[in-house]
Amino acid sequence: MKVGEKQISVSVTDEAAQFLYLEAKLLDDAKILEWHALFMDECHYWIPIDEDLPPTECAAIVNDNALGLEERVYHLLSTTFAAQLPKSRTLHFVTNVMVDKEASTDERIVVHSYQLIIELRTGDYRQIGLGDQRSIATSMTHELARTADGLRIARKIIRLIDREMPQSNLTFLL
Amino acid sequence: MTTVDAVRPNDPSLRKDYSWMVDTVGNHFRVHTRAYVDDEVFREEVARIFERSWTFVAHVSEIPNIGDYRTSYIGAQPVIVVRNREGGISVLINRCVHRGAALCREMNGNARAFVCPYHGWSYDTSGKLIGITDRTVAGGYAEDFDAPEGLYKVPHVDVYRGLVFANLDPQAGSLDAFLGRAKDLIDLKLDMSPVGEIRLKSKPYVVRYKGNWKFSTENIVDQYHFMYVHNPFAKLQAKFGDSTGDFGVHKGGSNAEMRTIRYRGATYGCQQGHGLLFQPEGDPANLYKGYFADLFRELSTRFDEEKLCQIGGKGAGSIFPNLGFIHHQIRTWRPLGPELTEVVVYPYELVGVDDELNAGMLRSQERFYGPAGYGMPDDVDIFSQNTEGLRGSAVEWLILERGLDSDVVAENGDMQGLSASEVCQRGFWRKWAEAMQGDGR
Repeated sequence: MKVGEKQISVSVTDEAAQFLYLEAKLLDDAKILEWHALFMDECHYWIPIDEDLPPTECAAIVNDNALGLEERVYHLLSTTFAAQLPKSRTLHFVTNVMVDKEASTDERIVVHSYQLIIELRTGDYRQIGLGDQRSIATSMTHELARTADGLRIARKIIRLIDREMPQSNLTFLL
Repeated sequence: MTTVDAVRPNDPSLRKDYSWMVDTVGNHFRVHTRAYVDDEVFREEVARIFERSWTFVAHVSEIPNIGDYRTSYIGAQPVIVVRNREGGISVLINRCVHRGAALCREMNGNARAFVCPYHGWSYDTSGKLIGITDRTVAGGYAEDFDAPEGLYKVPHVDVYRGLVFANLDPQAGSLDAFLGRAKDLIDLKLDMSPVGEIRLKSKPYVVRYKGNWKFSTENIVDQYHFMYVHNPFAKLQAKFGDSTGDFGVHKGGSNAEMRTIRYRGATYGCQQGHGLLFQPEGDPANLYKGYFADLFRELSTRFDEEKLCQIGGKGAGSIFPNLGFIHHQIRTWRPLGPELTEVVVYPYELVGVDDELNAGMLRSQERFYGPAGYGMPDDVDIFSQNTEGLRGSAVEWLILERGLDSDVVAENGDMQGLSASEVCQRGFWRKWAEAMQGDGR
């Protein structure tokens, strides 16, 4: 690392990585309420189709503010809908964790990661639409705020590698 | 022998009859399982329906300038839709006429000419062949080489209110006659803009599902399923109302209210195969409340109250065979196989309204139609379940008889039904059966 370049300590990177592992485990264990509790009261959860277009001009796959995220959690936990009946099972593989030196401050860590999400719909695997193992390759950015309760997510961005291409059911994705 | 598909003019086979797959005898209106799952039926549909119908291929706002193009499909035929040098629109098969390579590999762009990547043949934006490389080098083309004129031009291209349609059938009738009553629906959608125009700006949603394309044709105008498949959405509406971005689209604070609103208005099964839903606003005073109040005050200087209620109500259409209108979107579905379909949802903007209205409608569509939304993913999951269920071919027929006894013939010969009638679907299937008749008729 060059002299004078902003330094990110190993411990901050490790702290951010441990947070992402925790988040992934909560999702994979279907502890959605605990996952939701990781968010700040003001937050943004975004899966853009085109990050470079303003949201006023381009639809996103997900574009939730705090209330929108609350609705998403309610939808998953308190309603039964065809696209998650039966439910999905997931594994999140979290790699390439890099803290963004320029964007991070003492109060806020901006961390990029690659996450490979393996998903399958449970249920009668012999039936059309169930039991197929899918891989969803993503690059993510988390903005993590330091709070009295520890790190909390202020913003989560998921960039699907195939964001402008055909998608199937992503209703499980958090 | 009647017309053999001109796309395959040398095919010696007589056309087989599949019209029996729609049973309309007596009080029946039933469709055979094979119509949704059979490979042979699928191939014939692509040839006889998709490559013989007016197909939506682009909106003019996607290709405003000379040289602007986008790629599209008419059935299985890949096409380039391009604003040519004369300012007109050419629809060209995306295939070099030399040895067959595709010319455009991007979904859209701007080109002064189309140059084949294989041997460098080039074409202007009207498709005319303008260059053959190395024509006279040793082993090149002879003096009397019968050079083709250029790219294969789709013979009929026409535009209705900015919607570009093309038809591969040399004997095609007019777009106007084909659209018929569907123009009323397109009009009321576009007339919500003070200048009567829409614009495609947002990236579309693209979804693939394991099921037949006709599930999409039927479902976009299926009032009956909404309160069942979308009951979870109604529950979200009851809890969150407009606070999470519905933007006043799905009215009714409770399941019962929503049901009352949805089971209103008239439905049509058109002679051209279109299915149309019209649910006008019941109380004109409601037009001047909420997000669109100012817009309706502006529109009220141009339209009478009946028309304003149509514009401010709900309308949806399934335009034969694969174009849909619902919410503020154009939708197409592309047949990829008997059990594989691609749906593209293009949210559109109303030209001439406040940006907040267009942005609000985008948020509303995100919430319902995206692959992580609270509506459309359930529809396409049901389509997979249909495909799974139809493996049970011991059950031969599907039943499409709701409202059969209450449908009436409208003044122009279209069938008109009550709000939750399956008249839309029957209109489609009548046209389907006509197209799928055999030569022995």
